[in-house]
Amino acid sequence: MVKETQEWLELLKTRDPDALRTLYREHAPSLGRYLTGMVRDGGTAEDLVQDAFVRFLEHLETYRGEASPKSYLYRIATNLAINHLESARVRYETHPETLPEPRSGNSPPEDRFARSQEAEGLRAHLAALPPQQRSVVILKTWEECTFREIAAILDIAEGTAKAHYFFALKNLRKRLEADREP
Amino acid sequence: MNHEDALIRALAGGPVSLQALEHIESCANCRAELQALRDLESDLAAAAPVWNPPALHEGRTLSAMSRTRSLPGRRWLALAASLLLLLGLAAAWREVPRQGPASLPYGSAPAYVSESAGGGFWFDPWEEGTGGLLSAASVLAEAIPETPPDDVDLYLDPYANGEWDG
Repeated sequence: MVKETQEWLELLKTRDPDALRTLYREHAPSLGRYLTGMVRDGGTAEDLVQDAFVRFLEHLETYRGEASPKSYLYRIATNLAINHLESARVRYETHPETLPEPRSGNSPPEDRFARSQEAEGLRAHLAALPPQQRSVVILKTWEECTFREIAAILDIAEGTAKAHYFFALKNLRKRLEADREP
Repeated sequence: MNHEDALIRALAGGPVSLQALEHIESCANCRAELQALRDLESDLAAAAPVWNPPALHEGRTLSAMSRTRSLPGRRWLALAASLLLLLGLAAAWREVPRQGPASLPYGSAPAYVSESAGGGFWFDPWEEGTGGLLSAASVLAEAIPETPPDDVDLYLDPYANGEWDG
């Protein structure tokens, strides 16, 4: 596995077209979803996905394998998203219309929920969390990362990642309850 | 163990201490809170959007990826910056004049010495033409002639009048 990863990384260093396509197809959908959740803007998320892949390749020579390539890619994406949020000071909760359209056709039940008003409200509240809490929640619930992976992506201790997750959920619950009150 | 510690441990999964389990079992508030947070986790997971990029996104991104060049690592940048700094210092050193005033009459010290307040040594390493600390040393050496001129009376030659001949 490690050997395979090493070989794949060497191919990426030579910009082998097949290796690049594999990298994109393996990670772009989840990276796009993660970044959409972070910045709440479909167009910006597309640009950031591209930037994340470009930065990943530019820094591949200095990648020492401390984290998995996936964690390394997500760390780059997280930094790009946080930089974007800080520089633009965008208030995404005011632009729910920019969310990408969910799949159409015979959607499984979970997709139907994803398109519902309730899900939209949940995503809007999620977008109102501080960036690091938002990142932890999305990585855990959407990307199904372990706390060890989250800690590696955000460069924080595993215990801190767990605490962020707990307080983020508590915060979200409080906001949802406040919304339900007449 | 407080409520939050117990809930964080229970919610985060992994091994939960007996103490945390006992606390949650015995605390109705914590049990209700944990259940509510787990429900919220499920709702969040189901609310994940599907990312549908435009058809051209893959081609555009792959094209940008294939054009990338590896950036030098930080260590190399630091090494290059250090080398540039050393080269700059060496070049600056070559440009600075090494000599002080061309000639000084006996008994007169350069301004760096004689004009100092209280007679102590004063030297401005940034003054134009001084050439740094080593150059200052050479200026001082030049200010003191190896042999005194003939017209200086105060110079005592112990062998001049045979006083030391015994």
